[in-house]
Amino acid sequence: MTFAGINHLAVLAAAVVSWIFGAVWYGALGKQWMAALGKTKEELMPGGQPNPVIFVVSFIAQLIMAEMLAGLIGHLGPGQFTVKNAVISALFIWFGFVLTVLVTNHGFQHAKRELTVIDGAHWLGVMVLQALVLGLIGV
Amino acid sequence: MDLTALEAKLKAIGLDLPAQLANYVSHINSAAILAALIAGWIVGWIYYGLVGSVWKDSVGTGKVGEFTPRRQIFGGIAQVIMTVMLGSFMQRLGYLGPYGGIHTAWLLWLGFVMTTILVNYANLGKRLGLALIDSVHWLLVLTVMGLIIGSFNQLGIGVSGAPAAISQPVATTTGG
Repeated sequence: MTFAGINHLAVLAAAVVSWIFGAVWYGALGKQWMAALGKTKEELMPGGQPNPVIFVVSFIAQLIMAEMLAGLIGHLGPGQFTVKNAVISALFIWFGFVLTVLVTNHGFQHAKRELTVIDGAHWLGVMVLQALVLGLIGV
Repeated sequence: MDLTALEAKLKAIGLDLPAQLANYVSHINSAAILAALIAGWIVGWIYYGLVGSVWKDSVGTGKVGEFTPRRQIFGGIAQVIMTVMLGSFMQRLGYLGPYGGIHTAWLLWLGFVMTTILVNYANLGKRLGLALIDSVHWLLVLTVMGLIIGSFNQLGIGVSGAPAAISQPVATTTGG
């Protein structure tokens, strides 16, 4: 099976788009997320500001994710790196490896169901957006 | 609108859902799924038995981790889904044997499991130790799953017909 290749600029663009989405998502759902965690703003942000390391970790992780996603779609072969294939791959990966892990880990940590919903939907948005960017820009 | 008409409409826009779904899951090896599920449970049981006290300290609340049937059932369903998906990706990527299984498992872990755990736990302000403990658990479970699916493929256990000709993962070159 031949490999279609990876467009690293597309990977970077995908990571930037999904990272911005994450900022918007948790900005909009901040109160609900904290309620799902059962923590207060003071507990999560002792200095009043979020720890900037979190944003760096988040960006690097999404860069890795976009690179892996591009690699997986690329393995479908030349001519197969389409928006449709990208989104389908992202949906399968989210369902099979992200949602499953979240449900299991949250279950054993006694986390509230709302947390799984908020975090699960966040990663769904991240992966679909990355797939769209990767598919639209192509290799 | 009846189902036949709906199916015809979907086909017209290129969506043949029954066939596409069948294509994605046509390879399901029930014997491998069952073996991977049992192996995953054993791995989790041994692993959290070893690191359980560190894990409990990191999580920090009272009754975490206690055995309830509901948690085990949800965890079991999650593992079945994961095994099916891993097998599906191995099939699509052409990495069918045990080494291919481990290779695919590690790539999926690196890209999508390790990353999401790290980010989620960083957001929660949880200690890095907990993220590492849970990440490594999934690495071990996925590795065992890939090994089992690949070995069953190679040995022809649970597959109909002769075992597929297994090739090791080929070195890929990245373009662009």
